[in-house]
Amino acid sequence: MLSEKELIKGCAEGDRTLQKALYERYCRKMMAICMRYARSTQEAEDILQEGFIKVFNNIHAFRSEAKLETWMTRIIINTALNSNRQKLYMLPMVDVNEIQIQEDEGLNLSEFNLSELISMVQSLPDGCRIVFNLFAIEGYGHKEIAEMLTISEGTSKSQYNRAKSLLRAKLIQEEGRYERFK
Amino acid sequence: MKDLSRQRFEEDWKNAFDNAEVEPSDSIWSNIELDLVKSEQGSMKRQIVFYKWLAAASVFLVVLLGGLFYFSGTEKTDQLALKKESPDKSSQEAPIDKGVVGSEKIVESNSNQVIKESTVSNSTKSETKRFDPKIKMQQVLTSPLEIQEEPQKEVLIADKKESEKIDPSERVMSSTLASLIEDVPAVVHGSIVIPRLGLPAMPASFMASSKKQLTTEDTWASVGVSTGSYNPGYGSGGRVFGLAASPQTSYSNNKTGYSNPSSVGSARSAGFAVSTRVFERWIIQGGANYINQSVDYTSNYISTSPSNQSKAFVAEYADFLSQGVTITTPYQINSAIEVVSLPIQTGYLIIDRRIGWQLNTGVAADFFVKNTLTDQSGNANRFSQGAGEKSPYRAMSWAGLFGTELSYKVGKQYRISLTPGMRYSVNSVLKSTSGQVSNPMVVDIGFRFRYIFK
Repeated sequence: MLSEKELIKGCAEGDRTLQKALYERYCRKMMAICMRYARSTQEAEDILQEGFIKVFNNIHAFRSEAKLETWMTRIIINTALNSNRQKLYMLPMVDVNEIQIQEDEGLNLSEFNLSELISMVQSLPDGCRIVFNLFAIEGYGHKEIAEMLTISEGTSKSQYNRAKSLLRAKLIQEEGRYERFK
Repeated sequence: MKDLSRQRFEEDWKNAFDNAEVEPSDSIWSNIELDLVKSEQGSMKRQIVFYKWLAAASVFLVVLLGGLFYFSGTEKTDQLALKKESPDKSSQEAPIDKGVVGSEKIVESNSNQVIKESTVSNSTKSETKRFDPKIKMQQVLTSPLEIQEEPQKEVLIADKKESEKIDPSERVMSSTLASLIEDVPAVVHGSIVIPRLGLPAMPASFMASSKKQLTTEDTWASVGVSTGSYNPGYGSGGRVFGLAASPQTSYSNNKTGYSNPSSVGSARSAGFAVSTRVFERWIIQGGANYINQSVDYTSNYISTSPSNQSKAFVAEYADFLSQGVTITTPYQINSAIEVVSLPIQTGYLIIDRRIGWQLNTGVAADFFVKNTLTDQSGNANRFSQGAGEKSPYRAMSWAGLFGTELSYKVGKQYRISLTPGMRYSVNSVLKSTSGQVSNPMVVDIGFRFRYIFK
């Protein structure tokens, strides 16, 4: 199996075989990320394609300061954000004081498979979905998200709160459905 | 990065998506690959455009420098000639030994060979003289200031009778100058001597230098490399083949096969040349060059050998190969044609000094070596074929050559030069039985290193 260093070097030199090897190694993980940011599989594949082209065109600038997978993930997320940037301008501005963070209730995600969870996330409105991904999955803070999306911190929090409510409702709904079949 | 408000909810979701994997559809890699090929082609096109501009700029620079160099010399001399003419500006020719020139002088600088100044001529006549080195060339001292400015040297041209009257301290002109102007007919305007060569008036020193250069470089050998753009020059753009075009091939379905070459590729060459001077400014040169001409195709053909190996394939081979051809999804092929070229050219030396400028034109017999088709995705095997009955390429074709060479002499026996030029195949490099016509054109720029034989 080729080392990461060999893959990077080969890709930087434009070696098509090694580019394909890099794609084969990471395409599934990256596709899972794209699925969370996109509304559909088709949209996710578009993001994946554009993201990988950016990866290959810029891999010569990769400095190995971070893991290659982390660097690629960042490129894929940025590509996803750019494809949704137009929609983000439509998000309502909300004052920070108005946001009330809801308390957690015990919900067991292990009862759901990956495609069901992805479907739940995909069903969120655009703004909610993006903020939810950045905050809950990628681990960014609201301040960072606000800077990344050029929205206010309050907007980020409100969008996240809304996402959380919607997901909770969906989980309860899906759990109820499961209960009925039990 | 961590936010204080992160709770169990977020952790659950994060864990749920950790190491998550989703299989993308198979077509994604093909699309990525196609985009990469396009961006590489774009990059190559930009490089080729750069080479084209470089070649054009070199030709322009050469012409501009040559023109400036040639005409500035002429203009300066003309101006000097006018300036130094006697009040009676008409120049009259007179047979040799007919009259006395009097105290007309050539003023020559030893250091830079520029005519500097002359004293006022006693004579207002201009006469044609045939210079004879036996005629004494008198050096006279004009003013104290000019004496101090030596090594400038003034030479008085006088006939025998006049020279006898001059101060005995006179010295005979250096044998070098005498030999340079030996037997050169000239018109004397005041204090300027204009050689009559059918060319615009030139300073004697300019001519002397030129003559010296012309006689020292008679035969030379050079090696060089060049790179530039290559246009395959197909008669029609894309080639589309259907079933009828190739009865011996078998197609997997009813789709139409095609192979579209890019309009522009790249060419590289390396070779040597031997040149010899046949007249003062005329050169004949011959040599040999290895040429590699490369162009990309988008093709949806793939050939299948009896051993079931798939190979890259383009339409030119449709009527020449007996193996099966399948139509597949479009893919990128690089076609590299290798040729050994034997050129014979004539050259004209426009400038033949330390800086040289030469125009070359001629023909080349191009001998086809082989063509290699490479699937850039690496899926299909490489296909390579030399000249022969099964090749759609002619074993030999003719190309017209035109180029220029801007050189600079380094030391006594070497020159380095830039050689922008073009070559055009005057007959199709494809056999008439291929049903295709291809007259490639290459515009390139090269670098040469020349060794001058003593």
